[in-house]
Amino acid sequence: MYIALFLLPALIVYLLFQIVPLILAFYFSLVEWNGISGAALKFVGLKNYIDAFHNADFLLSIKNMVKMVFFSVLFHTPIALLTAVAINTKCKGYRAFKALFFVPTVFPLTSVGLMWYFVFMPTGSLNALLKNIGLADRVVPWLVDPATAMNTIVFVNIWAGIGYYMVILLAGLTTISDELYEAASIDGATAVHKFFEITVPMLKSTISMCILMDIIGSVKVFDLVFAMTGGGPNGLTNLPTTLMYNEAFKYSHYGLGSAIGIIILIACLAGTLGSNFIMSRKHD
Amino acid sequence: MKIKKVMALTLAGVLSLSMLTACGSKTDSAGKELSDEKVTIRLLTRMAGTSTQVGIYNDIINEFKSKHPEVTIIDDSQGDESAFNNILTTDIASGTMANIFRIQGVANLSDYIDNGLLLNLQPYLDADKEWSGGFTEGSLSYYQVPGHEGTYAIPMESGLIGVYYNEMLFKKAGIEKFPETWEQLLDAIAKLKENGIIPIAMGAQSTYMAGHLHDQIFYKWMGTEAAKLLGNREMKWTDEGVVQTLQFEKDLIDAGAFDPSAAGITDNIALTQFQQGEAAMVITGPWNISTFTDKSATPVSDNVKVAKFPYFEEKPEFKNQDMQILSPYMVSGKLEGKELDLTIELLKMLTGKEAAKRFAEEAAFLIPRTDLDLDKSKCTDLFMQNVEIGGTSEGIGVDVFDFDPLTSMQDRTRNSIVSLFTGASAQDAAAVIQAEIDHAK
Repeated sequence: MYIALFLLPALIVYLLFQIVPLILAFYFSLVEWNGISGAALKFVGLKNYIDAFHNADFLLSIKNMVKMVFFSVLFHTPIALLTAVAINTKCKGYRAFKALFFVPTVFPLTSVGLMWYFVFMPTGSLNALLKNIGLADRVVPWLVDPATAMNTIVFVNIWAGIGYYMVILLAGLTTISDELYEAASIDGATAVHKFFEITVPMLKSTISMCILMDIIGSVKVFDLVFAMTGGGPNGLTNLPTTLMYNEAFKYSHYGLGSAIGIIILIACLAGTLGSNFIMSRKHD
Repeated sequence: MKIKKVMALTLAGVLSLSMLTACGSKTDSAGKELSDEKVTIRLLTRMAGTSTQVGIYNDIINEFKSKHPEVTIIDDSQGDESAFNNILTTDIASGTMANIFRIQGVANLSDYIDNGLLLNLQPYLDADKEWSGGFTEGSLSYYQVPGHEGTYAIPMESGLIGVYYNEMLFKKAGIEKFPETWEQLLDAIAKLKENGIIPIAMGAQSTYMAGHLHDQIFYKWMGTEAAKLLGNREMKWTDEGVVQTLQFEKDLIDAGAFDPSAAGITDNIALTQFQQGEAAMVITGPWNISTFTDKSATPVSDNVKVAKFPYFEEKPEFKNQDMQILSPYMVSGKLEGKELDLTIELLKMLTGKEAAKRFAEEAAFLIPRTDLDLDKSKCTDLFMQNVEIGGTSEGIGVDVFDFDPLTSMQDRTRNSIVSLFTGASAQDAAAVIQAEIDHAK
């Protein structure tokens, strides 16, 4: 009885701010509404979902999302693992390195986005540097050129996330007994052998968790894109999250925006279940 | 005995409650609330930042606050258009409008009026002729919405959106006179480029800049009335003439009129290029005059002049069809009682004769009133030039989408125009805009 009482406040907050909006978002995804208080809501069934998949902007945002998830997963955990292992050797100045690598995680993503915007904008510091070192022909409008715009944002997302996964993996590394490494050394194992035969297998569950969090986190990225490009120019760097926002709040397509929100939810669930399935199969 | 006790307790309770209520608001014999009732007035305008006009706006609000100490002012005004639109959209969706706010456009106001979000200001204009009689007729009638009786906004800003240019850079490039026609403009662009000067400062990441350029071209090629034809669907964005207006903007891009990275540059950076003497022209409105005449902000201020956007020789009839800014203050349709009275009083203070004179003389900010009585010695030359050439307009248009009933057209048109800077063709951009309209049918 008392336990239920203690759970109640959290449950109410959770229902009010998670479940109720979720149900309402699903309801709004089935109607058309012009975004004006008091205006009628017209039930249109699955039309908003069908429209979304016929919308070139949405398909481009899905492509951008796949790129974001793929490269984030590809680089985040491996780089984070290598830095964690390096720091775990407790080499000289390892505390300073640990703090430095973790700093980007402490900053809000909007600040990180703005900072990198000033680096990559056409008149930004990177292009100024290229000009000053005689590489003016390499100057590119990084966030405008279709060949570089999304890649630049993916790079910043990777840069901003490594510290976070590094700290998780570092915590995982402390659980591996030193005796295992000592025994391997006696058996003549090299550092590379120890890494692949002891560190990686022992961290398997931590790595799976990192990958899972990375998939969900990358699907949900919003603030970084919003701060760097706002999804532009003309939707080139939109992710489903920014497109959802633009459709609902800029174009007053609340139904379509809500449908995109539900699709993001399904993508997150699919990513989570998929990666869980792959990991559990490997365990078997 | 028990009944007496209960009655005594009830009476005491009622008495206490009525005393408490009386502490909150005093009422007179007619039941009218007296002046110590607390009122909150929320404002959502674009008057934010450190410019002179914002200083005057704040002075007026402070004056109002000192007159009415019982009023709390919450000023949510945003200088940034995107931030402003976010708050406005949320307000519209939730129906919690600020007391005084602004919505861009006219045709789309109908939906807002139908849903009770906008107050009809005609009764207040009729009741105070000294205030209402000073506004130019055209500026008030602009906010008389077809299909609805009344006037739904008070104009608070006007003036020509023209081409501000650096005369010295033009002379440096061997151009003695500002181009009057499109062909002359293209020649000037080529000469400026040859001299290593950015011809037109453009920050298309702030999409309105690319949109305003298209507005200028559109009015000179199609005339201001054509915007209404697009709005009432008698004309399509994919019609040949309209596509041609987009093509002209594309031609400017191809001619190298802008920084090659214009699509990734914000308005502030573009304006800085002009203010620092790196760019020869910038298309903007009178709201930047005080910045352009301030030597500390614009080192080249002595060379800054203003002109109309060049016209097309094939369309001399549209030579004086110009883009002008006309910004409104609107009042929430949900206000009543003392809150409404105080809001109207503040609105009058912000747009009255005295405020208009101060805004014009000190900040080069023009409220469209005929009773200004300006002391020309206090006004800058650039402001007077703007007023003078603005007075020659034979047809006036704000943004092309102003007459479109679809609220999404502001962003849709501007984003598609920006797509011209990232490789899209005029036909592609027109098709995307038209698809938005077709989809809404």
